[in-house]
Amino acid sequence: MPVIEMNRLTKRFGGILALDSVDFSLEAGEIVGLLGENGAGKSTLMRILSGAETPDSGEIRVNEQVETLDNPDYALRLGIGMIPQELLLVNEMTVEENLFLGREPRLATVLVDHGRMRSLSLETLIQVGGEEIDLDAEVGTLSKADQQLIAIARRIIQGGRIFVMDEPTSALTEKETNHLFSVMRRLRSEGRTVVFISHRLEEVLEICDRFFVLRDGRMVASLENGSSVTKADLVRHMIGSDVRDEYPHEGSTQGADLMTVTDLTFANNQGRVIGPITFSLHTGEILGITGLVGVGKTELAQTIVGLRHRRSGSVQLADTARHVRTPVDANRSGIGYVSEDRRGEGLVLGLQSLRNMTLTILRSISRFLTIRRGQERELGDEYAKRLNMKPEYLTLAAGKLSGGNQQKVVLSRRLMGDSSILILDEPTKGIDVGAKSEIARLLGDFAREGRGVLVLSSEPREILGVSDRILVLTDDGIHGPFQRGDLDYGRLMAIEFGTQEDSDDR
Amino acid sequence: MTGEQVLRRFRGLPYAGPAGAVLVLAIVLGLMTPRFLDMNNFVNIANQITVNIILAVGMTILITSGGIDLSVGANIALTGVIVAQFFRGMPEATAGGALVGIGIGILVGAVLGLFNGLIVAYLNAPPFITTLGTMSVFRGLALVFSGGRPLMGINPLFVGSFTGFIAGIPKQFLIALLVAGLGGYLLNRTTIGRVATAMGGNERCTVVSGLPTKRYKVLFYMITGGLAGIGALMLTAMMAVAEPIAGTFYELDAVAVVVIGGTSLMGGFGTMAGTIVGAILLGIVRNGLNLVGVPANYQQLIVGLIIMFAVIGVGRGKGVANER
Repeated sequence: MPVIEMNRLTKRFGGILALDSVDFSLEAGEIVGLLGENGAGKSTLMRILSGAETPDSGEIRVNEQVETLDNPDYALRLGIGMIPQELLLVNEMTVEENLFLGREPRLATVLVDHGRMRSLSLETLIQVGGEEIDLDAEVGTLSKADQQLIAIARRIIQGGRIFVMDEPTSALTEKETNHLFSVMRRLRSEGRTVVFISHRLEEVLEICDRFFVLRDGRMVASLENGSSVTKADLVRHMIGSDVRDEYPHEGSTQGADLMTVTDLTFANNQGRVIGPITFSLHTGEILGITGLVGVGKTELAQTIVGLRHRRSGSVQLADTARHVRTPVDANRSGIGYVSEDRRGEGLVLGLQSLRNMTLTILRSISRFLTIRRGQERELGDEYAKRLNMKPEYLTLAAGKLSGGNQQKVVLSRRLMGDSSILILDEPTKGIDVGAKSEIARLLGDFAREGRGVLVLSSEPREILGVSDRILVLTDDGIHGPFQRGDLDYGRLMAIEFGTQEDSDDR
Repeated sequence: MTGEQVLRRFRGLPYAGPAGAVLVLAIVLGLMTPRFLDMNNFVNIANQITVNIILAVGMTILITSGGIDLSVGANIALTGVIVAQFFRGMPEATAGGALVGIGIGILVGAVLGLFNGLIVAYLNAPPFITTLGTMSVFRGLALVFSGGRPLMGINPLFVGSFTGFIAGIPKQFLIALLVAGLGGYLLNRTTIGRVATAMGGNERCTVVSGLPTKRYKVLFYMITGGLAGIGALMLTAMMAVAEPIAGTFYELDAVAVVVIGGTSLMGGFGTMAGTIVGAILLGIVRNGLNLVGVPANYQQLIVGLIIMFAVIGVGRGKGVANER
């Protein structure tokens, strides 16, 4: 008898079909792997399961009852608990406080029952194998692995029966991972259900009883684990065979070194050290850097432009002996960075698009501090035309534009600033298909004009389509560079998932 | 333009509410008491709101950029005391001395702003708490440097340069209007105002884009401080005395009129014209309460209620426009 049954779930975001008539089910007492490439629909499906998102159509049954999961609190009351990558713990509070957070056991409804809180905490921590964790320690001082156990324990206390763990092992050591697995097995033996989302296929094969594989919003496979299932099988299901070329690219000629990154190391937000990374960017090329989500691409871009602390290594530009250390340096040296987070970092949403474009070149369009509005508008018109954007949009607030047009605004800012190097993090994220290929074509134009274009993307098709050379970032380090044409979809996936032994390591 | 078009444009202004309130109040007060329309009364109002206007001009730029400065009232006291001590140290009152005094006042004000700016920008301290702290520090220094007493002996030539009339309008009010005009130009037409607006809208974006945001932040605080210095000069000249307790709560009036005028307290949008309208509204309300004979004990209460209603009205009116 399934505890969760989802039938023909469909969910659209704008013009994009995120889930296409997906069936999904969970039994009590099993560990289920949910697999798929980035953007295949895993997160959307789990967000629906946890009540953070409602499907456009389809049916959800919890314990055989049809339910409308339209808020996370209700889903939690039914026993469905998400454990996202960001664990949502309060670092400044103690372990015990975090375990309860507003759901403290009560005495006479107003007083906190400290005695019961303590015994319940101890009991639950033992249940997740965290008996050595100090209940009075501040959570921020604990290791990532211990924090993970606390997040799980909290869900147990909240009455969780189904635990959705999104990439829980990405920040863990092997030993910690093994411990987490023993906790997952224990939960299973208690009749609870664990959904394990991971890109690490060895781990998935080791721990899961069954797999679901999503591709382009469709459930393409549902299989039992067994000795006959291999990593290669899983990858085959994930990537399918219908690889289309959405990114026509003519290939640009490569020139001299523009920027050299040497032995760069940095830490991600979880404190994991990434690197050393070494590569160089040439004039007139598009260099693609790809890798799975969470492998450190965004962090790499941030470190290059000085937004993230650099533990070691250097970023050097060919035309000057100068090193880039801060975003101000980067801007002055002609590095145009386009953040993945367009709304949070790329744009001032309340400000006119035109004014967003000219943000970093105000000096060149002003005299005695006074902005020459006529010149500003002419410049805006020129770039709107060049990037194929309606001039009416120039006077609208940037927040009112579509994703594609917003990206054009940010690109215009970087082009106006005469950047000889463009660093673009997930340049087509959140952009509809038509605008995607348009942005890709623009990148080709920029390279042909003699710029060096560095594209970081988790979308393998985009990277394979636009890049002249490709670097693949994995947990083991950086692989490549591969020339355009030397890498196809299957081989790229094999390197990303580590299923290929001879992956051309340097 | 037809009357309807004029009306529609007026209603589109971010400060349409307070501007309408000024009109209505002026008509009501004019009908209630003829003294309101007396030229002397206008001079009175003008004199009462000049220092507030000067402070609010700086505060508009600062709040637009996402900052705030609660130390401007104390800045006035400290700058006034330092300028007064300078005059008292001079053997005789010369025109040159008056000029130097003016220079010192603006400089001291700007240096106090610099101090605020450096702490906020380079130590990443929250502006509200930082300037709450420096408010006390500046006020304390003013008490120390004055011995806690009012300082007399202000250069009369200095006093004369801020008091008196030109074409029947108080000189200091003209200066305030000039400052407001320049402030409006700075905010709307210059690179500094543009960066302030962008920083207030999304500071992270300006950092990521590679703008030297810390230096701009310091500049905004220096502008606000320098204007407080000018306010100190005016107040000292008007009173012909510098008091260590001068300017108490002026920062709150300045913040109030900025917000009444329609500038977003969250940053990212600022209007200098709105600030001036806000200052005029506050001035007329205080003046009107006196004229119609509201007991002094009730005035503060009523002023407070009016500020609250104005701010609530501004917030509601902008709810749609600022939806992001």
